[in-house]
Amino acid sequence: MEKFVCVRVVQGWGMDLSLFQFDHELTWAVFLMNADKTVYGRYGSRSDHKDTGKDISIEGLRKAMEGALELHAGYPGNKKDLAGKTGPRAPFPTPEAIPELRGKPNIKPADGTRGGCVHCHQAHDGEVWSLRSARQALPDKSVWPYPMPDELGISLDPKERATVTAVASGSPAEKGGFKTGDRIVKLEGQPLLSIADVQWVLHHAKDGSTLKAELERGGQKAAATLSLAAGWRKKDDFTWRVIAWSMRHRLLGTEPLVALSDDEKKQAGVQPGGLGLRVKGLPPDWVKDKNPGGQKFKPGDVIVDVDGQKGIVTEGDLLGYLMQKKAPGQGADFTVVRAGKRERIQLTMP
Amino acid sequence: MVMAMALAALAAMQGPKDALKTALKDTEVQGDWIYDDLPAGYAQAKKSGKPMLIVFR
Repeated sequence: MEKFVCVRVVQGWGMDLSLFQFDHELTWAVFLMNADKTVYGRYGSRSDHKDTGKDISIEGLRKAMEGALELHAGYPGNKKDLAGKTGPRAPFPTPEAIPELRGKPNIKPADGTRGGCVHCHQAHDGEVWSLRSARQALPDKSVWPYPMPDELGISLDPKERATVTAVASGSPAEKGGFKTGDRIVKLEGQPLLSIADVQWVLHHAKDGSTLKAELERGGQKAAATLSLAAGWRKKDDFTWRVIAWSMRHRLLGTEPLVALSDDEKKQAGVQPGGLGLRVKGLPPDWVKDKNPGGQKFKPGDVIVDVDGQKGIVTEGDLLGYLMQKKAPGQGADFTVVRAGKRERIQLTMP
Repeated sequence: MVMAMALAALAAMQGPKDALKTALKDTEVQGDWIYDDLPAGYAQAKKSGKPMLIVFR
């Protein structure tokens, strides 16, 4: 630790959102950087609501820090390789400048009270809802941010920087030449210090592109590619994220939806692989920002159709569809199974 | 209520950073760590020539 200048930041107030671009829905994140604000790497990943520690480790952090020291020793000769680690200008400069966050009780500098602290996750939530309110198209990466490499068939060891522990059969990773044991040294020319660095490259990658990877395999240099099909990131389950709560409340007026088993779908008259999501409950009274039409749903209802759309199966599919395809003020037609009968419910989207 | 008044009184006696540390139970963050002050971190990193490790939590 003594080889670094260590800073702990405990609040989002005033955060430079163009510089500090990372998965804002993490409970803990690390930036490794130069004093001139050149980013060496990020550390911190999460892919599950309950198991918040499965994608991080002390060993992995130590190796990321060792990697940062290597990059620092080679700086500024390696500055060109590091350019892609800083993102484009953010839509809003700071959390307090995000329209959707104005007026929220905790949007003020942290003052030691419970109500005084901008939370990092609010930056993503506020940005997405502000863009939607302004009727701007939401790109896939707004709804499915920072995808894990598992979506492309690569499992990485959380105790290493970016070492492949498994390659899924038939996946883009297998087709592109990745093998178990590979150490991914660079992706799209960017040196990698962590799983978070891989997610950073994937977050900014365009559908239809092919990413180039430089590998170390058995002490030798090797290369592989990742071809990204259209819509590839939509396989990532984002419903563990805090933003999923505001989507449920504001779009549907419900609490989380529970996926039916194939047997339960059969009983509801739904094909296996079709939409079958049970309404577990409605938000408590203290949730003020919710779709009032959600009262039309009853706990136990099973949503089996929305707008006649095919391909919507999971809660993430449903929320993503409503966020991207339904503008504020538009209606959405739901079919639910209630007490064995099908009923239609129409909601107006916020 | 009593607890809230006690915390407010404690905050009034401390500086804003100390009050924040107390409220977040961060009083163990000591030594060479810079607490919630990025400009101070940039300045120290420039002066020392060391890289920065910035934790957001």
